[in-house]
Amino acid sequence: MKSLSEKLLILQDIEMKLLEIKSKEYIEKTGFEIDESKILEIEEYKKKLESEIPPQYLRRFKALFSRYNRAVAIVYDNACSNCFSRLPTGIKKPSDNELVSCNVCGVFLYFP
Amino acid sequence: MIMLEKLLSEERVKIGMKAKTKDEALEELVDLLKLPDNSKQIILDALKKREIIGSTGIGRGIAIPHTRSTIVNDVYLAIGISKEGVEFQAVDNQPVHLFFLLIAPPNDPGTMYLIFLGKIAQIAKRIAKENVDYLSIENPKDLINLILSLEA
Repeated sequence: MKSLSEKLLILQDIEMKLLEIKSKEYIEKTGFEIDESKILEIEEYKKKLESEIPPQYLRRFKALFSRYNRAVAIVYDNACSNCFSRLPTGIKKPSDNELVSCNVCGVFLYFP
Repeated sequence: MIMLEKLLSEERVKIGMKAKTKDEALEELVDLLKLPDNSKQIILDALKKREIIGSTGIGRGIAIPHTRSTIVNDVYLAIGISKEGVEFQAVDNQPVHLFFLLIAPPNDPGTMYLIFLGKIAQIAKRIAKENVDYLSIENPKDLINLILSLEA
């Protein structure tokens, strides 16, 4: 069973992938062939994952991602890997159904 | 000039991969990165989703599985050689012998990921075009030297 923060992290990975494969730069630099019909499979998986995330968190995820292309960051060395701010003392890995956000940049935090 | 050298290390090169299938090959390559189990599963999941959209087996026995993932904090490159070859659904339907695995965080500085990916694709094309004999290579150091010699 995946935790809520892990679901958001996977959702972000999917969003990044969809953006990447649709970018002109990616195709030009790498020459990879993309099967457009298969993108639907990924979109379906994304929808299923989104349905497992409470609406208030999903809304915030989408707002952050559309604005900054980033809604989730891992905690690395007790700092947010998005803005590199140290986490305040007392912030700990949340339970599976809870989320913690960076109090500086606002992204959801994933504790590896 | 951005060089691949900074990403190459002997610990992340495997000569004589055991994998027989695409999933096994991805797992064997990701194992070289020595990530925690949970991170490894997230990376594998992201790599497999990328493969759904189109195989990264570019033909002539070479594949470049790659993905960005939030779970990593740095750019990683792992290289593997399978003497027997792996069924990877490559574009030419031939088994894959040489793998370049590239993983990067969402916002690496200067979008190095795309630059490295482009470089690796160029090297792979050169290996194929010049029929470079990488299968006779016996140790990681020699493979790294070969790749660096082809980077220019």
